[in-house]
Amino acid sequence: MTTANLMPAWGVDHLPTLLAHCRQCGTYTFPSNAWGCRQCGADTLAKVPMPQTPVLRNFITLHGDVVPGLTPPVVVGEVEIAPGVVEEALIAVADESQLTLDMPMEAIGADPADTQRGLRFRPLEAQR
Amino acid sequence: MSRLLQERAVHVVGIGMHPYQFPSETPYVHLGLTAIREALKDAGLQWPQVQAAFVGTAAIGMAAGRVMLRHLGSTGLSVTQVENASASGSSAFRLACQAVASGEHEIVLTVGVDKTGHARRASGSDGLSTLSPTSNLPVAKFALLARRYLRDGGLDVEALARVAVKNHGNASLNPYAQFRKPRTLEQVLASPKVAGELTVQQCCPRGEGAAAVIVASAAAIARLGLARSRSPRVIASVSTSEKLGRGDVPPIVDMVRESSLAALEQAGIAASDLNMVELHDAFSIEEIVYGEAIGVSQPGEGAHDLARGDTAIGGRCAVNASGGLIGMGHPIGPTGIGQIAEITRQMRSEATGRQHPNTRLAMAHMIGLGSVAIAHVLQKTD
Ligand SMILES: [Zn+2]
Repeated sequence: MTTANLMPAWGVDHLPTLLAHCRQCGTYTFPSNAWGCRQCGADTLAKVPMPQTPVLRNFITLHGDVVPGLTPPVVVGEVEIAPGVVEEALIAVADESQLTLDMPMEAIGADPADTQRGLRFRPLEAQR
Repeated sequence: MSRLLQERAVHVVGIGMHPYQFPSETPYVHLGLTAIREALKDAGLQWPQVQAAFVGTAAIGMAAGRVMLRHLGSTGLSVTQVENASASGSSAFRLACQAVASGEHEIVLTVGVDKTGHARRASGSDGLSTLSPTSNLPVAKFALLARRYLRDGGLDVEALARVAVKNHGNASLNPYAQFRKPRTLEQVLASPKVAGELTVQQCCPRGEGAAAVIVASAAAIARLGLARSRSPRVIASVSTSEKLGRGDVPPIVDMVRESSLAALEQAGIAASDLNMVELHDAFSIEEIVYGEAIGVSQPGEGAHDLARGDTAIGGRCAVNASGGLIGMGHPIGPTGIGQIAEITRQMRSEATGRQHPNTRLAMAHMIGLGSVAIAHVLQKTD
């Protein structure tokens, strides 16, 4: 199977500057240190926080031991973190039964015991 | 390319394979030469007649071509190595077609050969980090796509598993396939879960192997007295890459739709004219959504068409008669060239045991990590 990029990078400290916003066309790009706007290619990007409450658009459970350092089962979701920006993210829940489509989410830091997990998401407090 | 292939005909005159297999100690040179020698013999050509070679490989390393080809004799031919992830072989084949269609060469070899385990991905060196350690993991991406498709269509997991049943069944009849065992629906569903609804038997294996195809101009076929009726013509070749998504359609699906539509337009045919499609079913869900994107099935009808047998050998349009990536295997470099070999074999009515009747128009469609798409259309020659 595939070896994924395990560089730990995104923690709660990075939330104020998680995304890049293009001053030319207004498109959001993830991550904020991207080398150019994914829509128009401009390099005039401003580092900005998520402009919306993140929303869970899809989710599955990873059953296989396919990512070194990531012990299954793990819930993986597609989270919309800005208009048009849907990223795969680890969902910090015990199982899928706690999730519904299009539910608002919040970003939390990595499990302190596991530095490789970076930023994770969980259902927004009011929804839990 | 759109006019070139119409102005100067390019034909597949020879095919050869080394069976796809699980990782072994066999040197890649042996794998590649086995396929090339079989293709030369099939075409009735001698090595010195080949003017250029395009070598598709993703994991062997730099300069794999001449190291292998010198064992056939040092003729001084043009040698180019092509890496385009899973589409390496398809891209090599496209370049071979261009070399003939442009008039630069008359007889060109394209060979895909690969071993597992040595590939490094550029996405790990782009200086950026992803949000999730699964972000570059195809099985997670396609499990998410599968979940969405099943949910939107109100379908159950059997809809996906039927792809694997069909393709393992086809592969069991293909002597070049990595998997040679038919699987039942129960077996596919009971195999260990990998991600979401995808079980192990719905995922392509890792492996190695080789595939070779020789293309030639119509003039060369006439001059050398090659068997024209055994030489399908390449009538379209298209290469594209992913664009930003539009709304709810995943960008990779849009890419498949646009690339196949461009290939059909170039060929001057409709999707409904296709008798056969070989496509990138690294994961079962891909065959269903790409089949719809190409137009083999109407939107939302892919799973129903599969269940009805429309995409089986003998059905309306055989999809992955070779066994596809799930059954035949996916050694990366050879995969796209193996598709061309399968289509050629079928058009010659030489696919013993798995012959699809009356294959006249076929598409080979391949995806590469990134994502990129390569589409070719072949037409039977009378
Ligand atoms: Zn822009």
